[in-house]
Amino acid sequence: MQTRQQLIPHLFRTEYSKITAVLVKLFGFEHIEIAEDIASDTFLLAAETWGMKGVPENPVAWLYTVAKNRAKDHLKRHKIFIEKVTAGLQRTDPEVREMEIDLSEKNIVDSQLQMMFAICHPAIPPEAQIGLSLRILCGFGIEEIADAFLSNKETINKRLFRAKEKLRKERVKIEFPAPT
Amino acid sequence: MKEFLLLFRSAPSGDPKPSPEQLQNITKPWQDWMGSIAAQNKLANPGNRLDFDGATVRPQNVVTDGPYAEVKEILGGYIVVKTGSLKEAIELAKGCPILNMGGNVEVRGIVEMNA
Repeated sequence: MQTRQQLIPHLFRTEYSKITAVLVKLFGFEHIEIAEDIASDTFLLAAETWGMKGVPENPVAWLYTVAKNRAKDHLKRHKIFIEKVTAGLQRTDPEVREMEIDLSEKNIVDSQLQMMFAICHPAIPPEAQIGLSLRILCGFGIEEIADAFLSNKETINKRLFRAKEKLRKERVKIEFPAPT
Repeated sequence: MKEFLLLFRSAPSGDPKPSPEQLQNITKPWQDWMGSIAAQNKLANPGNRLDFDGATVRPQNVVTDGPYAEVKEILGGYIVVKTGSLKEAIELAKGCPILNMGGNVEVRGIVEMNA
């Protein structure tokens, strides 16, 4: 029972960042909020559905399927958005054009690592880099980050918001840095 | 005993950025509530949670995308309970976690075919 109680928080910490990283890589950093919303929506739906109906046989696969569908719905529904996104898609292979959302282990690991580089961009201060890393890559809640910084939610929210704005302005790409 | 359909409606959430603990605080009350109805042997059908997307079909081939455009509240899920009276079904509905998330529960009697 104890393990079942902890399942969703545990999965949030391990899978939220994977889903977000893959979607951000697909959409581009300027649409990071949409990626975060889709990942959050997926977990909200899981929390309610699993509470009502029990935990599915393969919880991770369940999360990935819902996240993929949610992402596809989003792209379908917002035609204007899709035009903007397809124009700016970082990857141009035909799979992406057909809106295949690749949640394979390789793409997850690559996306997470590339996100790490993007988030730790020198254009934003270290405390913003750490905050964004905790939020996006480690699945921490805003309150937990505030506690870690001995700060409050408002300050952290503002800090993360500003950092994302800055990274957008810098047109940060989700990619591996060139070998030096 | 009569069957009642419990329909959960709620407004689309404005800020869906839950922390892991908040997620657990959503799951637990649903488990407890469903569990307590089942323990009283009043759960006729565990129902379903409905997906966000969908469509509405109207006469003359009019199909609108999803239920969200025109409604303030979205039907989010349902279960069927079996109780001695509407009053009893209402008592069960009062414990529904959707009430703590800005939602409401509609309780409707189901017309029996084998009276």
